[in-house]
Amino acid sequence: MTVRAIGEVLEQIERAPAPVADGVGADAVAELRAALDAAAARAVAGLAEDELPVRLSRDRIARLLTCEQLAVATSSAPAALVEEQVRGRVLDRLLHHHVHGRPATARTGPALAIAEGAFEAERDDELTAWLSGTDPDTRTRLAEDATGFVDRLDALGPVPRDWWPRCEERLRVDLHDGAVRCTARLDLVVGGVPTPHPLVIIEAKSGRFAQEHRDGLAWYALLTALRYAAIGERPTATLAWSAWDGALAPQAVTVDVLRGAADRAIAALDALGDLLRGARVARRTPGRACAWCPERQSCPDAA
Amino acid sequence: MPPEPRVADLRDEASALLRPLADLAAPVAPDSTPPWDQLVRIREHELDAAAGCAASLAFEGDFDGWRAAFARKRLGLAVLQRLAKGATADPTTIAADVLDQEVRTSTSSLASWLATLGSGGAAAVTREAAWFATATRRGIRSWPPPRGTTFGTRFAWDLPGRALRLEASADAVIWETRDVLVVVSGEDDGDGERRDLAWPALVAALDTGKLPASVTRLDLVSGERRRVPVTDDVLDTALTAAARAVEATMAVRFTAPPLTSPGRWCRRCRGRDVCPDVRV
Repeated sequence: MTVRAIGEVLEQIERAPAPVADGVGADAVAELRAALDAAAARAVAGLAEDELPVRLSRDRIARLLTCEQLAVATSSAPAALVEEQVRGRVLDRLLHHHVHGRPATARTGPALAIAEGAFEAERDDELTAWLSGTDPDTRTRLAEDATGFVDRLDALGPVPRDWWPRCEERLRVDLHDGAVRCTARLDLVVGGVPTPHPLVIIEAKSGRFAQEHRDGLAWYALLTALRYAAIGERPTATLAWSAWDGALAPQAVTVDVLRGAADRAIAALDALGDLLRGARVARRTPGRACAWCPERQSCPDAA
Repeated sequence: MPPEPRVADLRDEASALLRPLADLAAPVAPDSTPPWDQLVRIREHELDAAAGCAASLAFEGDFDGWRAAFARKRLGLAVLQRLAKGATADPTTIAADVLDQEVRTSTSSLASWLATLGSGGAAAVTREAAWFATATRRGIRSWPPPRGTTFGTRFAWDLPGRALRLEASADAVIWETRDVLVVVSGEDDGDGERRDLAWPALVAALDTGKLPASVTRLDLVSGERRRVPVTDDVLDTALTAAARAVEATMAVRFTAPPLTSPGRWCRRCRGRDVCPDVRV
């Protein structure tokens, strides 16, 4: 596998024909918005005022479509931090350091210490406590992974600053007059107004990229298109980057990509509405997600 | 320069409303500066706390420290100011320079905290400032802003006769057209949004002697933009909020804390571990 530098990939995206030709115009975005608003209205029908707004995130959509009981279990009792999540957050902070840190200080000190410095500056007490209380073997593993992530980030190359890179861009899109609230925090966004470059959404993962990650990126592209519909701005492409192998996978944001994301969100909203109204029992679907389900000990169907 | 007639009336109105509520505050002689250590400050924070659970003000102590999210707006506004003056570098580069300059040239508590950060912490702060500046710049439709526009303006007005000060911040002021911009990046209810709009209008008028023409609230996360002309209704909303905040703050400081009113704000309250009525 050839590892490509991000600057080169962004240049290719900029030179490629705009996917607007594929139908992602204002009408297509408005049509998707109307379908989502209708699904949101169905989902909240009959709910009490104090049950609103209903939150819809990428993870909630994925859980509802993977195992409804997992979605129910994790919405009522947020799970305690596990090593996999900490690894992901360490990667996020190293990406932020790669994008927003100073090149001259990029390699001073151990990689894990860079992430810990960020957690302290954010006053992320839960994570800081987890890291300081974890056993030496886990800490050694995380430190080795962090060093590997920095090596892979070096191979990714600098993110061109004239694209105005920004990490942790927050988005909120309200559906059905705010009854359903969709929020997202994007790993990295580059380009768009006021730069001369196209808008590109970048997601970093500590493991290999899988279909669920592509679905998540498509949801982010859809939310971004809805959020900036008023100024007619839409993402041109998404980029998935794996810190596990350094692979960088661009995906044009076409109308089919957005429609697929909207269809998944509508299916999730329909299921969520049923569950919130108590219209039916949550379906249990055993699978890989059982490993981090809070009910894995008591669930009769756990894989 | 004397205040505009409407603002002169507004100052009288504010004094008449707030003076009885602030009677226990330290007295201040005419044209004197209020004693700093006895000054009661009414800011956005006091307004929000009083509107949610006034009793929460009893748990307020000293500022419990900086974090990246708190530094976001202050440094991000400095980045915007430079962009407005024609800086051509990107927000991250400018934010890193702003951070350096704050450490080198300021004696503020923010500067002291920034000086303690390692490269990971500094990158987190730079990230926040760069996002804020980029998101605000993307949200401002007309760029560059008119000459004389300022970013991060503080307004303050002292209640005559008592050591009580109303304070408000405007994220941008277009002085030419008297437009005030307030930038937010979190969720709020309808009342909170109205306070966001009304409070800077009132304090800017009391402070400068000139009535702002309009206030715009820009939500960086949702993109919602609401612009209201500064009418008597808007000023009344702010005066009502001020009265409630002064009453609650004075009660906490000089008499007995008000009754609790638990709600979603309990999550952010410093008294959540000891309050018997907490709802988390």
